[in-house]
Amino acid sequence: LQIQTHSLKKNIFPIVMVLPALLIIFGVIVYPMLYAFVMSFCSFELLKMYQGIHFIGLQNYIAALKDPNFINSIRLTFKFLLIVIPVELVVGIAVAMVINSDHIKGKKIIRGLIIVPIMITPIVVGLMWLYMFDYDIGIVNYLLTSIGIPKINWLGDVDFVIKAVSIAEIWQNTPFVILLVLAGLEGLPREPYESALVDGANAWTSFLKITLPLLKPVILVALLLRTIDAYRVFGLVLALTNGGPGTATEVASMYVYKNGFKFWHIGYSSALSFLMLFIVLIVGLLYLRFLKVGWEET
Amino acid sequence: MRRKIFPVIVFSLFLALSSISLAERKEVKAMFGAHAWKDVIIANLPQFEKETGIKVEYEVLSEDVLFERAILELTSGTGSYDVIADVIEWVAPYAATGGVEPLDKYDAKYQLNLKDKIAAVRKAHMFKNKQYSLPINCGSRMFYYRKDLLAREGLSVPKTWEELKTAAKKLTKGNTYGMSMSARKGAIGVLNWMPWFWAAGGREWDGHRVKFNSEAGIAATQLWIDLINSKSTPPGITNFAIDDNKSGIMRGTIGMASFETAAALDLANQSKNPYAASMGFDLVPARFKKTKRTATAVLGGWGFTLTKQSRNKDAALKFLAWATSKSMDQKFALTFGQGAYPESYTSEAVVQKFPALPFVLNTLNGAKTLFPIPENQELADILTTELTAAFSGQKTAKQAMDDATSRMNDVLAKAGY
Repeated sequence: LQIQTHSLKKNIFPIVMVLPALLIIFGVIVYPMLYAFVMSFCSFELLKMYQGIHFIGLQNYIAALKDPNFINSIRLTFKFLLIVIPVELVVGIAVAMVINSDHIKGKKIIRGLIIVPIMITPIVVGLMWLYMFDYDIGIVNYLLTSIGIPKINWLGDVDFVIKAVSIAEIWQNTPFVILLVLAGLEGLPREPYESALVDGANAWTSFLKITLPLLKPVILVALLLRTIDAYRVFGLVLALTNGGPGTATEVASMYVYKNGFKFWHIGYSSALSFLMLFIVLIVGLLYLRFLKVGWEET
Repeated sequence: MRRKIFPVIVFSLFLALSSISLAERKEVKAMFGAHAWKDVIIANLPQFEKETGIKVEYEVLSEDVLFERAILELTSGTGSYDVIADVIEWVAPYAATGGVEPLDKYDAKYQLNLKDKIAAVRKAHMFKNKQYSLPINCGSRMFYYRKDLLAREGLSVPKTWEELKTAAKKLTKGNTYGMSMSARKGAIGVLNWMPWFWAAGGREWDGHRVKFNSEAGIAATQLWIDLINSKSTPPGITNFAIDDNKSGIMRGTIGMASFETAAALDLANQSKNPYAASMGFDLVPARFKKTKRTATAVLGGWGFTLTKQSRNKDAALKFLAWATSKSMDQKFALTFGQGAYPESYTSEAVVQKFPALPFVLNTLNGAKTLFPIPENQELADILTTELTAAFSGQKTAKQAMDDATSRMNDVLAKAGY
């Protein structure tokens, strides 16, 4: 009996210690998520509380899938991802390779400077680029005209506005890829490179045949994290264009935000959120599948 | 038995006393918006607190955050705040939550001076004929022009759209663009386009449905498409806000513009605007000479609401009466050139400091509110989305106005109008 009591005490102590954290997680993450999930099946208009909250089954989901503005916002979000993610990865890997080379001095300082953009909140990044993209007084057009390229209406021209948002996003988040790849590069073994050198391989061949395959898991992690993060882009777009002109930059998270916190369609915006979550879950699962293959191959 | 009763009596007395002290607690909790009026109120609060013994605790929030927090506070009805600031477009959504108190019944007792405020402004803070908000300040939109540039081209101040287009083309030279507007996607874009819609004789709302695909709606949109396509406007106007127009005029790159009256104060100030002496102000030009140019501006401005769940209504109302009093209004007008009483716009001291104010008052008297219903945020969002789509060449004026009308009417039908 004594042994049993002792064992119980031993088991209860860690549970008691972890319980407050679990309760907080349940209170601020699990419960709101469950509540939002339930609400996504309800007609819930915050400005018409007198109508009450009614269960309406899948109506919000069906309406969302028929909503051309939501479909357009998802399409636009993927267009945005297709621009920013490849650029962030290619530039991130290239810059990390340069920083990692033996010829570069002051690596710690460079690393410190590189993280500055990540530390700035997206809304401030948006405001910064708003001024930089200004047609008349922005530095971007100033630089373009100084090399003979005519000014571009970055935020007013529908052909350029998504590119402008992408540039700001790439500026802010490529450093994350650089840091991740740098960490991966520092952990690579030296032996394969020495063998390749003996076999007469040049730097480019070493990069293609050794570095890239060994970095595959790191690159896939960067790809997964950046995709999920860029999929939620919001503050940057809000400050730069407010989703305009028209719906040219109205990404999915902005559409969900507007429905939830501007128009107060709580039920409908909950359904939109879960559809967004479902989509990113599928993308994430696909990535994880590749990631698993990448790890197994490595 | 006595032993048992005694602690119960003591406890009851304690509860009774503490509830009395809570009831007498002279403390007001308020949500302020990040606007110049809050600086004037905060600077004068010590005097108010000294005179009344009422302590005012406040939080200052940016416009977007304030709206979200206020709606959540009013729907949850926690009573954490007694006073919440609002802008005119939020009066209907606030009132729809059922969380704000109509103020009409307190007018006489607390001297809220409702009837002394600018009539159009007071009306704009009403919902379903009840005064839910007390105006603090206000502004509208108007037409700005550089007299010297017009004179140089031998032009008079444009009174019709044809004259405006001609003047805009002639003034566009070198780095100067003839005409500009705040056309950024958002409420600002709608508020600045509406005067043009009204100047074409448009009527947006019959209480049930909107009709922006009318001749007036299409013409007002087409006017701006024409101005943009003829390169008479700065290329970035679909992303222009108030400061872009103001700084453009101050830099000499904009000859004429239509935007917020609040900018008139700086534009008429010689220490801030090198072209101040040449600045002219007017209502936006009418589509045709015969179109009456009266109500051609949308009202904007801040106010204060009293929450229904306020635990300190007496103290809160005293604070509201003080913060929106005539003496405070004079201070607002002297500090940032806006107020809610007509006399603040015409007093000698204020006019000396801000010479454009009497004209601003002229625009306020004829100004209107846009969609005084809780769904106004969604309607404005649809309209600005379609307008910016037309201005950026994604849609024709007719397509944009057809889509705006159809989408807005869907929202109205769904909401039961």
